[in-house]
Amino acid sequence: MSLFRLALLSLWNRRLTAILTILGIALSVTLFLSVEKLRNGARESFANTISGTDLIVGARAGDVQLLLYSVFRIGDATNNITWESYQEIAERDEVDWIVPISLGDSHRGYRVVGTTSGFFDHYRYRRDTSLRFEAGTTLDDLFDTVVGADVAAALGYSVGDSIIVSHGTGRGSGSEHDDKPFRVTGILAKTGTPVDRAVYVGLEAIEAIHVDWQGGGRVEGLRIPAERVRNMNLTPKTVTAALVGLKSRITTFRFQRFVNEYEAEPMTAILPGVALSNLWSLVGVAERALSAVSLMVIVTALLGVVTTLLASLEERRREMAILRANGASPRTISVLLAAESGLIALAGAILGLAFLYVLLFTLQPVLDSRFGLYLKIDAPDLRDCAILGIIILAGIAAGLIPAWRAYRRSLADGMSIRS
Amino acid sequence: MKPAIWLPMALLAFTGAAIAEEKRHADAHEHGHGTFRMIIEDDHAVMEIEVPAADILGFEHAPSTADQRDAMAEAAATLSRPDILFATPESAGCAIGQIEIGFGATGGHRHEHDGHADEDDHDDEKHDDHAHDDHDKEEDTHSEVTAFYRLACEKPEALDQIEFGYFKAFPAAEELEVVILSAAGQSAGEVGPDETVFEIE
Repeated sequence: MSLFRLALLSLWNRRLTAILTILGIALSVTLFLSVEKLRNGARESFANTISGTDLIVGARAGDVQLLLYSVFRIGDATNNITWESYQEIAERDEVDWIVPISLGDSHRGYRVVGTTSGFFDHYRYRRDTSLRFEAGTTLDDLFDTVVGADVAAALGYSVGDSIIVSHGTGRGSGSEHDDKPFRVTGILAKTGTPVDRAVYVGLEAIEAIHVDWQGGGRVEGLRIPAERVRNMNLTPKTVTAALVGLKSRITTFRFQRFVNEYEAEPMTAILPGVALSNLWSLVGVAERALSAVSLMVIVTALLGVVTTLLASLEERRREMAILRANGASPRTISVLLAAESGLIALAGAILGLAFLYVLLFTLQPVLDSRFGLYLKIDAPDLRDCAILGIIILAGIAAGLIPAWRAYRRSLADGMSIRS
Repeated sequence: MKPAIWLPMALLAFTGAAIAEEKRHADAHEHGHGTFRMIIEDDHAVMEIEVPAADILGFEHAPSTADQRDAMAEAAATLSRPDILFATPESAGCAIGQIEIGFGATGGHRHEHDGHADEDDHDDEKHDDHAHDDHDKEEDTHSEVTAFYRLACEKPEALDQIEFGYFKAFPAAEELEVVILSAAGQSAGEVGPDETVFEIE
């Protein structure tokens, strides 16, 4: 009888313990691999908050700050850029498209973004995914608005609803633009990016709701009805930032330099991908925490493998003694034990991998739609394979410890066991 | 033109100059830290570095001794080997075209042209600008070494990493800030003597 067969039969003989051990290992493997997946998924999702935009232009600021207020809508711009500068940038030959972003107002705690319908055409996330309308269509009329998925879900909006924009970004500041309500014409599909948490109106609409305002308040006695506003000149005086797409990637750095050294107005052009990675290195503490967790999981898993195997083998001192009495050399026994525990670890690793993919396939759509966390389902990478390899090696090593002990102990010790 | 118009115009020109002089600007400069930028588009790529001269030469002024002149010549020779300094994967099949090395305030500007490089790109213009900038700053105590490389790659999609032999060639260099723009997006990070491979995501 070959040793391998003997190992299999021996395992079959103790199938309950063996199965439990395999399950234990499998769960550790699944836990470790899924923590890794989550970690990578979180980083990828973050890094892909905005893509396809070559540069973001705003007033002179640090790149992280500009990114925070223009894309994440966290904090406020220190300055806006003038419409003239915006126009001059837009007219440059290198520019393929430009989308303005004008911030400052809010709707029930959500930022109102003044932009153009170009935003919905050009904004990309997750490599090259475009924004999609869950319902309705893009901005058309002056008082049209498109709301992000989270806004629509939280406030229960549907196409055709009428909403009122508040002045400023404070919640319930009391200054409402209630004389000029907007009509919801579109609801964006969930993206898992800050796009979900904003209300979009036309750039002219931002001007329109402020025509009878001055110095942060409504001018007393001056009420310009919405219908009359339509005939006024609604060219904005400033925008907060602009997303820029270039015709050729080759010109990116040169164009960035052009904006940064713009004589007429201090401006900054940032590379969103670079700013995102700078920002991630700030918030990356969370990633390192997850890394630490997955390291602990793997250590626990290894300890678990060794412990369970040791425990099950320790019970078999008698069996070892009998084998030796029958002429099996210590070497044969070592190989047998190592083969057994190696097999258990291998089965555990494979089962754990299977669990992971079952989990991934069932949870991926939920994680994507509910949390905007996109986990790529792909083959285990080199690192995963290395860890799995270590687990299997640890399993084999775990078998060698009792083998060594069986070798050290006298035959009599094993034979005279009473239990 | 009537003389009456001349005066205000002269005044305008004068105030214009005064305003221009009022604009102050200073570039950051930190020894040991340089930037590496690369753009990959279709089948060609450009790389450029901007590094404090101290990292590469050990001094930041015009060379005054024979040793310093030798150091500069040696640095120029080393910088002309982007295949060693910034190695692209062999599978990408990248051929090096035009190489430009500038020593900024330390003087000297070298052009090397390769017959295979496509010269039609307007990007050259920028590099000339750049060189002028550097000459303008000649009184600066700090200076930057710049290098620019043009590559043509058979399989640009195989460009998944850059290996920086740079740190071995220039032991004084501690860090390069890396920015790479490709069809896959913008990736950024840092490389140093301990981490010489940058993965392009």
